[in-house]
Amino acid sequence: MINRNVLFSVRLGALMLGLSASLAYAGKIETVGQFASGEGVVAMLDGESIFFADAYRAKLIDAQLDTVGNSGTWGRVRHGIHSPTLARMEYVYTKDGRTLRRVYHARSGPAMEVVLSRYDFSPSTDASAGESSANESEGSRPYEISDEDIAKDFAERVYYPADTPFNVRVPNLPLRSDSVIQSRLVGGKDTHKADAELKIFRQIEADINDGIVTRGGTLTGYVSKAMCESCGPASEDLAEHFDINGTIQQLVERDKNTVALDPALEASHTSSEALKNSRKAYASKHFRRNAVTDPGKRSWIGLDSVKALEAEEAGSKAIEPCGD
Amino acid sequence: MKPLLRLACLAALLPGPALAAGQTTVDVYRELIRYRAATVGAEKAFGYDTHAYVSKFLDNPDSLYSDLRIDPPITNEIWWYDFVDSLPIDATEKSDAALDMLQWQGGFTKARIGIDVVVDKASVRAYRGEYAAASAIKAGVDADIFLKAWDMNGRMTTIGAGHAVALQLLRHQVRSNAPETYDALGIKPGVLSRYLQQNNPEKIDAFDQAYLADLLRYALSRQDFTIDTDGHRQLPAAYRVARVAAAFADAGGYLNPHGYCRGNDPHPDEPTRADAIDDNRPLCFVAATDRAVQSWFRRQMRHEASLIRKAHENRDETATRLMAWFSGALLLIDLAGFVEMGEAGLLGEMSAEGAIPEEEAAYAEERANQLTCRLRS
Repeated sequence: MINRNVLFSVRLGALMLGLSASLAYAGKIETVGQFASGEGVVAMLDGESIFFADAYRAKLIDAQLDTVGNSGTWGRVRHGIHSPTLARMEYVYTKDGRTLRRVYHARSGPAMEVVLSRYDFSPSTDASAGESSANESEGSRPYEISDEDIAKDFAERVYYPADTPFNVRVPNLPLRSDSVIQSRLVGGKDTHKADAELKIFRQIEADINDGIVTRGGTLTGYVSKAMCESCGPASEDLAEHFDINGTIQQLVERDKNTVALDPALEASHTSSEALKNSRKAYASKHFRRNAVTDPGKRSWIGLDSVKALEAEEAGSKAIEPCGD
Repeated sequence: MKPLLRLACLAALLPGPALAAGQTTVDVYRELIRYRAATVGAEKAFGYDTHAYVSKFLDNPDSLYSDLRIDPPITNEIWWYDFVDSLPIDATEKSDAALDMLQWQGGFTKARIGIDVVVDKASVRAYRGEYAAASAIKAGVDADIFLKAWDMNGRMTTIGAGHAVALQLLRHQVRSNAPETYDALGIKPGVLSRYLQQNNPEKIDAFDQAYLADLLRYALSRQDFTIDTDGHRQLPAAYRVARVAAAFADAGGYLNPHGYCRGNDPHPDEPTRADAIDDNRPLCFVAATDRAVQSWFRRQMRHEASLIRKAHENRDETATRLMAWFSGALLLIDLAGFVEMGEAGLLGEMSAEGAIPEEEAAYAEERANQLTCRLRS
């Protein structure tokens, strides 16, 4: 007969074994000290930026806002388009014995309609408040999201390339009470629900629950800024509950008051600036009153477009003001 | 032995630097813009358009085959030697080296065999011909990438050229960095290896295509050159892509029995004026300036896009994928030759650094925006 001490030891051993087994299967997503840099990262995130900016181009034309507003309005529009945080995450998983990949694309903030409703497109708007006077954080400012905004974001899928099994534009999702991904209170408020990283975590959770992807995969993410305060803990939730491993690399904005001693951090600052410059240049080119064009337009195929280029190069085209 | 091949073999016997006397890897154009903006301000420094800038370097700016000016007026400017002295160029003739770089960056040079490019026998075989080799080598694309991108894209040579340069950019990054840094640097070596091993273009997945398009689009938008792993300068991406497309055309051969070149010159039976490309006719690419090859590329790209439109009226997946390459990346090549674009980008950088006032950058930005606005409307 086994005495009580032996039985206790066996039970304790079994418990430890169980615990260690569950720990062995818990995933980990590295986020701390993951400083992204280099042309590859900037190129990918610049691609994300264009993806979301082009949706705005189509939306502005559709909403007939491309011919109204004044220079102040358009300065704010440009800022609102080039400054949100961008996230691109690649999830590699195994299903039916095959290794598959799904790439998630998100930007911070609410639906385009909600963003545009913040700007006054009437002619009386004060023209003096241009792009440079906009608050730097305005484009990705903390935002409390409503069900109506979620519905608008979903409806705006028509302005993006169609989702495929491999590529998904992630909108704001309704928050399910049983979700393991919860945003944290920061400063007493829950204002990070619309952060780009959180949107993607929630979408991955939904995809796992819906059987679109499987748990236990690997996540490789890139974010255009340092991760939001809620996002580190949320990534831990995602990793632990769904046994996901991976890394989330972040471009880190330069703090003018400090000097980066770590070369990887300094490289990240430089790449962050390169991305910002590129995003600003794209916004400056495409978001001006009377000069917004439909990204789906194919008029460039005609030879007239080449002749116009050649006339400009030859200096033989009359120069008339274009756009405002 | 064909005269060109003989010339190529002779050139191969010359020491490498003979073709690259006084070469520097300093971004002289970038430094020029910065120097002029800082010393006299944007409006005064850049009161010229693209045509005026090109005229400073080419004998006949309207010719596809123009020679370089022997006496480029830029070197007579009173500020030129102060500017040259400010450059970290390690050469006895700093002025010549700086001028050589401006000519090369601006797309004013050619790909003449034995003069601008060394083409050896192995390259002639590898790139399927001496003319193809000259343009492909000038574009800095390895032969295995060149042939694979050609094979995967068939008649869509402009898209194939975009793939080739994107793959080469990726190979450069893979070779220049330690494997443990790939994730942090966004380098995906699997995209390169999968492409080179693939035999079916439909099986290159959307992710890999999008990644390559991102790399190329960003390189095109930067409008600057790169230094490869061997320390050689590589042309700005737009001219690289155009040169590869030209190399595909030369490698594929022509129905025209005499081709378009005689030696390193345009064939005397072919037109040589600017309107020589009006009918989408190939050029004698080795004799043409990079800018002229870029002009030809614009037309060739539209020709290929119209073929897709005709062949895929229902906008199937293949058509969508191919058209995304045109509108998402290759269209940027249209604007690569305009100095207004490059200057706006560089002054924007300077303004962000606090090196010049915002208004200076705004002037250049507005000039570039006006140009793109006119071209789009």
